[in-house]
Amino acid sequence: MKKECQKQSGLDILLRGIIKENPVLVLVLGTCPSMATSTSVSTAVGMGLAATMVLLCSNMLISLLRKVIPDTVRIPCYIVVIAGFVTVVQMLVQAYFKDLYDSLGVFLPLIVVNCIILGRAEMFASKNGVFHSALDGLGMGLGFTLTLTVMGTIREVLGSGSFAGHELPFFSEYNIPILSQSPGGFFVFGCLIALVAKLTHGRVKHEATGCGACPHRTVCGKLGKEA
Amino acid sequence: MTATKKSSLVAPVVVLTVIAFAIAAILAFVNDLTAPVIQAQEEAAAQAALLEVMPDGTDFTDVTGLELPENVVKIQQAGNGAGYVFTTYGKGFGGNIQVMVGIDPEGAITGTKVLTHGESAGISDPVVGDGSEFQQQLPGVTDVSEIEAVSGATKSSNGMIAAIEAAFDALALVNAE
Repeated sequence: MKKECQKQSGLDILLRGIIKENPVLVLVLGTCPSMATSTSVSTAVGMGLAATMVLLCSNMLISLLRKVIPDTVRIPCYIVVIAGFVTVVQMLVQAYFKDLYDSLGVFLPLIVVNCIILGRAEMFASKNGVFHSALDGLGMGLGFTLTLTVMGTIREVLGSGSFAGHELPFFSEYNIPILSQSPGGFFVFGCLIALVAKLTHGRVKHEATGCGACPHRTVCGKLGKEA
Repeated sequence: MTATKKSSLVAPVVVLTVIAFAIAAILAFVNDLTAPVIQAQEEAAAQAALLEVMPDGTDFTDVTGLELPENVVKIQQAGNGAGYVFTTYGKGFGGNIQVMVGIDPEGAITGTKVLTHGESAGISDPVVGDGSEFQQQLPGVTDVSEIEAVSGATKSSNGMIAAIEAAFDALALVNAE
């Protein structure tokens, strides 16, 4: 496992979060905030960037502390670190980006329990160096932001006929309101998962069951050994 | 007890405590920076909302000493006699809709603004949105029977009407004092 980690180039770590191991569409983490905040482009981008910020900072700090934190209390330590950064981001957003704060509502503090962030802390940052962890956080965060932006664009343009709050000429007359509701969110989500599966088809081999079917298999130390 | 066993008991406690203290210190620092900004913003927002429902009003003060009806949250009086602003709520489709209603001394509505609501996004926009179709008909209204519901958002409209009715009831209460 150690050798494999060293072989991974920085660029590969950064880029794989965007499509190949996209946290929302391939790892299927963070589904709840993706549904809730992708009704418009501006909230989607805001949510994505806030989560990226937290992910980057928490990955770096957890990677720095990985030798200090005892195994038995690692999850509480991660949660404290993550919750700390989320609260910092929340206070900054509330103070300087009031509109974004209002539209994100409860989903901003809920970044604490966003599985992408805890997932990356447990799967990657606790086993890798600071630089690679930072790249991983950035890549995963950008993947999350990109997915939210795409979902937000589809749902806002087709659902409410506007883009980032500006009305579009044709779409505002013929919109599909259900797309801005939760069923429409699931519909768009499913379509995007299908699209990404098609794009990565052949390159990402999936086995039906066991460790081989797990999206985390490349970073998990138990590769090949059934847990 | 051997030394290693002891350290495996103590280390987790120490590490978690130190991390928690460090994070708490960072939070205290950031809070110090942002708290004044947030407070100033909230005051400005509250003031802006008051002016939106009662453009002629100045020097708003809270009306105290009244026993408020259940669905009236707050009553504020304009210092220059432009009227009262009532913060009330009514039950809509997705829970309570909280509304600010400005009423002038003649008992006519000067303006309304929805503060919080849980109505379906999109569907309820013609009722709860700022400057919506439903709220455009409200200025000048003196009785809830003059208000027309918006079709397609009847439940939201009824919630708003209930909130406005509460404001009129509260006005009667204030005038009776």
